Amino acid sequence: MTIKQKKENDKLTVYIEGRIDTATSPVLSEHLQRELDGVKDLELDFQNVEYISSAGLRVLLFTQKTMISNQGKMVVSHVNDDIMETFELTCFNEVITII
Amino acid sequence: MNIETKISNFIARAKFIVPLLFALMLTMFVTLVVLIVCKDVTYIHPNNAFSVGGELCAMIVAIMMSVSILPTYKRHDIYNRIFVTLLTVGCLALFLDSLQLIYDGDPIHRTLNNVTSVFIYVNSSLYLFFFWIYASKVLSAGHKGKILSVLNLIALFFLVINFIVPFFNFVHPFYFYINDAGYYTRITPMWYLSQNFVVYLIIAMFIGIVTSKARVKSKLIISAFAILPLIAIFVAGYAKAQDGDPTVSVQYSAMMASLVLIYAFLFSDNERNLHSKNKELSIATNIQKNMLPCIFPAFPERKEFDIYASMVPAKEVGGDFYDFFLIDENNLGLVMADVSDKGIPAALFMMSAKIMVENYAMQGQSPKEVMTSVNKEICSRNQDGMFVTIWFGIFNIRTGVLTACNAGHENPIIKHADGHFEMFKDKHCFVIGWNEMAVYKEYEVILEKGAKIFVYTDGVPESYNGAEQFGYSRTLKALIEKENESPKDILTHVQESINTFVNNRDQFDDTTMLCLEYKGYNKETMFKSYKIPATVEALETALDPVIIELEDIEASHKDIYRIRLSLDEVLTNVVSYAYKDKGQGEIEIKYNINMVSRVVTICVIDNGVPFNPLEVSDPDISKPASERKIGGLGLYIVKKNMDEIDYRRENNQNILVMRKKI
Repeated sequence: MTIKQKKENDKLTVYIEGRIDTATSPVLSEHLQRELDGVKDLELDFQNVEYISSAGLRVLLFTQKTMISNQGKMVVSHVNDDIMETFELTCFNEVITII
Repeated sequence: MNIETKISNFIARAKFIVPLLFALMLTMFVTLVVLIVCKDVTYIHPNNAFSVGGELCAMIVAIMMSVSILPTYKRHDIYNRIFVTLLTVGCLALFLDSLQLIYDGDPIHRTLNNVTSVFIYVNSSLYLFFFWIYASKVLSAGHKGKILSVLNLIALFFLVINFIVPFFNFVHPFYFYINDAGYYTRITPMWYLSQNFVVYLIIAMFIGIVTSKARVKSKLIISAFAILPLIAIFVAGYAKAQDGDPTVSVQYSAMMASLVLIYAFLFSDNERNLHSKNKELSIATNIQKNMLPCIFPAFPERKEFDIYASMVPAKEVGGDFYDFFLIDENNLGLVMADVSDKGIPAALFMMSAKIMVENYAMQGQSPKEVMTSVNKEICSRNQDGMFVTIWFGIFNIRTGVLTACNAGHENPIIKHADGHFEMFKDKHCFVIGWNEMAVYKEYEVILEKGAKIFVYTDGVPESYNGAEQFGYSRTLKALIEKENESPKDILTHVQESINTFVNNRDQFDDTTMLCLEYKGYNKETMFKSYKIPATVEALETALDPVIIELEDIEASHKDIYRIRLSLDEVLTNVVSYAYKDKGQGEIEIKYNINMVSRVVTICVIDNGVPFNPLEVSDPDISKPASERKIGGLGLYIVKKNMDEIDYRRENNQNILVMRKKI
């Protein structure tokens, strides 16, 4: 998994590429915790995410909670079908905003 | 029933008749030859000598024809039998005529000449009568009309008259007399009266042919048959009447020639029928063969058993069949059967029986239920008294239990894991198709890992080499010789042993065999297995073997994704919680992809702390983000993505089994 990002004022766009699994989730989690200070508008671009396991879902949920307490918002974009299925299965599509 | 029918029935039924007639013909021929050799030939008139020569040739022809019919005399073929009778009466005519001709013109033997001549007249009426029987049989074509019955009755009347009247010639010559020089001389015009039967038959034949419903071809044969000797009789009779000097006697040879003609007709007709029948039979044999499963290995993905079957058809199409089919994942149906008859009817019967057995078995019926159902269904439709013997077994691949029902079939031969092939005397029930109320019972045999069962039809032990049968002891010996080989090798060896034994002799029966080897329901052989260290790092490549195999069998992308996700979740769980000393433990992954049922089974085994994932309650996914707990999601995903999850603790191991249909 590789992570790239673009920051404009309080908007952060994170481009994730590869697999978000048990091994890579902690990396993503740490990265986001480090960068979220002062961010009101977070976009996670899933264009190049091919796989997400429950470890990744946990990161998303944790991040969402953080954003809520920061009074910001988080969106996940460009989700592929496989991942969308997992989101729907776990009702994540109702917890996080997917565009 | 009239006399004519009685005579033809007698000829058709009496077993000895054809050999007896044949012996008579031979005796007449030999007697004649002996007489000619003994006689001073200078006494014989040259014309008569010529006639005798011709008649001897005609006798040889008659004998040859009956030789060619001889092999079929056992069959109740009335046409063939009457034909041989005709040949014999014809031979008698030739014999008597030759006898008369030899002593013709010999004043010393005037009495003999006189007696022989009378018998020639008597015999002629007999010949004409038998010819009429044959003709009316052909013309009636199975169903006799009123006209033919009347004609038959009149023919019988003419026979009686012409059988008796010639004897009065002894008292007062009116047909012929023997002159002083010893020559046979006709008395005209009285002689013409002797031809009354011939004249009647010409008329009767004409009426018969016109009114008959027989095939045109049969009619043609009959008319050709009739006209030739009749013309000959007239011509010869007229010629002979012209002067007292003997002329060449041709009528009896001509008569024999006409028999040759009809024989040739019949022969070519039979041959043509036989040819088209053979063609139909070979088509039937092919259809029948294609009905049986013949692609081996039959279940390449099933490692629990090996099966092989073969059928070597006999010359004639028979009613043997074998069959095997998976009833479900764990049950294998096995069939070995033999229909009582041969030919097309047996082949048709066999096909319907085969389909019935499979249908009832696929409905989940046990062997005795299948046999009972098949018997009832066959009995209700069986008009021809055919029956079938069936050995039907259902083999449970998981437990090794074979449940079978034997409906009058051969005993199976079983080799247990630690023994040799042995005849298994099973419970025999009644054959299928004769008794609607027959009760069928089943029995169980446990086949352990390495056991084999051999079932067959009677064609195997009854293979015949001309002196003796192959028998059960040779069958057992052949089986035992290769008992540790695969079913295919065993059957090949048995067939080779039979082939060596019979030595190219045509067999009357099909040889049909089936052999099943049970290799045991063993997870080690069924499942592929590998181990990974229980570390997060190992997870990255942990799934590869399963995924690669799924990709190889072209499972859908979605299924692969779901399986990967589920397995990943389970492994993550084990890595995270099973072992207290992180990075020390191991995880074993076993998997199997069943190509028939298309079910993927994956087992994850660890030696860690007891943990039953099924007891973990599902997360409440309806809560908003702020209230949702982190955790429990992984197992929830697994449960949702796989069809079935089982957990058991065995030998201090956590064993989690997941199944998914793809």
